[in-house]
Amino acid sequence: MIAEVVTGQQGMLDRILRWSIYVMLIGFAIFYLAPFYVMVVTSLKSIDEIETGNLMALPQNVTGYAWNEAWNVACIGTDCRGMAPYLLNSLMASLPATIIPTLIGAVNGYALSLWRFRGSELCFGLLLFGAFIPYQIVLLPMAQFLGAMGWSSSIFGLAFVYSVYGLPFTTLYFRNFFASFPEDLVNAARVDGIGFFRFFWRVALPVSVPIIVVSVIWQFTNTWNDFLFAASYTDANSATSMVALNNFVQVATGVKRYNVDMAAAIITGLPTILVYVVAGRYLLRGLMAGAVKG
Amino acid sequence: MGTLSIRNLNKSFGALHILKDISVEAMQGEFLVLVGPSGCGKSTLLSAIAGLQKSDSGEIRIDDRDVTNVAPKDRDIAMVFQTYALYPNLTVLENITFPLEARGVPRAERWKEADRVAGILHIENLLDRRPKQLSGGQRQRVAMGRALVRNPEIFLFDEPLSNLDAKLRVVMRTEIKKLHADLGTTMVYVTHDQIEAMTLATKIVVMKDGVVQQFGKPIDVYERPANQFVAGFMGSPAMNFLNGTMTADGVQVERPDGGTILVPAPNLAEGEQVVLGLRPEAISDAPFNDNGPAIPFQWPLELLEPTGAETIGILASQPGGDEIVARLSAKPRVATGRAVQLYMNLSNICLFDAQSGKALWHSAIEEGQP
Ligand SMILES: Nc1ncnc2c1ncn2[C@@H]1O[C@H](COP(=O)(O)OP(=O)(O)OP(=O)(O)O)[C@@H](O)[C@H]1O
Ligand SMILES: [Mg+2]
Repeated sequence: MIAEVVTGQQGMLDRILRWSIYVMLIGFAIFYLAPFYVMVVTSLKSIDEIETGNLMALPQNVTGYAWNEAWNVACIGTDCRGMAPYLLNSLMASLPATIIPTLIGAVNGYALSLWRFRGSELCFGLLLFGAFIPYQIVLLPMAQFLGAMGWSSSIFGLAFVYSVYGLPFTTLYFRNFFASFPEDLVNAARVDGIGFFRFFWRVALPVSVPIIVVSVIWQFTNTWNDFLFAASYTDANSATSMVALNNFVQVATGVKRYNVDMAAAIITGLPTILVYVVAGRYLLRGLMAGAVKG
Repeated sequence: MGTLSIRNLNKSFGALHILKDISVEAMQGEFLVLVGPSGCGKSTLLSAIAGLQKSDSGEIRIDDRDVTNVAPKDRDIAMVFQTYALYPNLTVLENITFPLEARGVPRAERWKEADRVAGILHIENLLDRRPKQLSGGQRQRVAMGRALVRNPEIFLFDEPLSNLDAKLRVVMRTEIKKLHADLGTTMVYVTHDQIEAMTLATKIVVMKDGVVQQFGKPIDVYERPANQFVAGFMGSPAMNFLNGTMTADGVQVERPDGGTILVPAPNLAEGEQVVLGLRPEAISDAPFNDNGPAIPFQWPLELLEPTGAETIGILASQPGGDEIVARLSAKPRVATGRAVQLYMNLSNICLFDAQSGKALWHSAIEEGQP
């Protein structure tokens, strides 16, 4: 009898706790999603409706005007070609800055973990140091360096900066991933005469898909969302979408066209959302990736 | 062809001296088993032979070629790891042919070799699978297959059966022995299981704390152990040790219930304390008919443990001594709880120095020089 009462009470308590957690989670979700909701609905309204209507209300007349405006027509400075060209700039900076550091980081981490050499720990320590240098410190020297190389105001220069800055992180990810790689696999490869790069391509890299995903997401979102480097090292032609968006929203004169601003902001943010949706499934798995079993 | 010679090998990890002056020889076709308790340095020695770990001093020769400073891949060895170490993303076929691929063997020939090896190991139907889709025993076979395709001078095995269940272990043990008989390739095999060592080896190296305790044929290691450690380690149930005193007529052993028994042995040093080593099968409840000389003796019996084929008898231990175990007949006509009539086979007894544990004398005759 007593046991039953206790379990009854515990069951009750359990349910209350569970529901309060749900309520809390739903509350947070609403809190975080609300701005996005406002952005989407605002981008689909006309200016008139925005000025007269409620911020949270659904659009009365859905219109694609703002999206067309943002994509094709909007002026950044004196250049009225919309966001599209800048999106392409961003892509051209972020794609190489994602692929190259991921690949090099993979080789680095693989070598530092599995084919240790004299001084490999020191090497890793120095690389890691790069991850803790604040961006602001290198801003000026990097500008001078880019100038000296003739890469100023170019997308190539920006991609270069991103790649160099990404390396410490990607190396760290891969090194830690390969640290739990079974030592015997490497020993087997050494006995069987399978070389450093052959083993890398055929075994180590395919096995590290989860951490590749982490590295890709990290590099892509960081470079895509970067404002500081992009604003410092690009000009009107090579500006990334982040810089363009800022100019567009800040500098525009006359009536604030909230709907176009919102559409432009969503367009700018869409690629990173896409990356998360496509690769996010692997992200958690990658972050929690444990041992590779032989 | 396939000879191995290790001379005065030393290896330390920092301040830890792991391998101490190891010297071992194996002829072509030898099945050399390294056996010893956990942590004695067996794997370290095997790694040194493979070249995965550099030794501090000493020499390793394979095929009469000094390979001490040669890379693993150039030593003409193949190794089977305790964890199998299969490449997880490759199929069985790819796993087996990968070493050949790395050596630039053309594809058609690689596949032919894989077929040959798969036939030997009965894994033809597994070639498309990945390691994750295999059972422990199947993985073990694939790992052996990967070593087999290489046709090396020497095979190295590091406890290849220790991850299998008891039944499969016995099956695979037999298969490895057959494989060795068929191939005739030199094998070096690490295990901590003394039964595996006895059944497989043509030569056994017994190690303890990085020192070779004894190196010889299995039967010699069993019948003529070099010291009390080897005697206790090899054989199951383990050898019994009885404390005794050397006299002119033999060893005088005190019974736990008072009185003594006299075991005939050469008088090495009168009055000295010695340890008499007696295998469980050297004690019986029936006279040893034509198994060499035997003496009857009385000893208190404590317990009987029938196993079907035989009965394990637990005899009363000497004061401060270990349990004494005898392999009695399946249906012994003796009663527990009092002294019973037993027989001691004198053709297989050992005497050890009570202080150092070194063997002083064996009644068994040596089979052959190691
Ligand atoms: N890389 C290393 N660094 C430091 N010490 C090590 C290293 N490898 C092995 N040792 C030590 O060397 C000793 C022998 O290890 P080894 O692996 O050769 O033992 P083993 O005889 O194979 O034991 P087991 O039967 O448990 O496999 C152990 O005490 C171990 O802790
Ligand atoms: Mg070991």
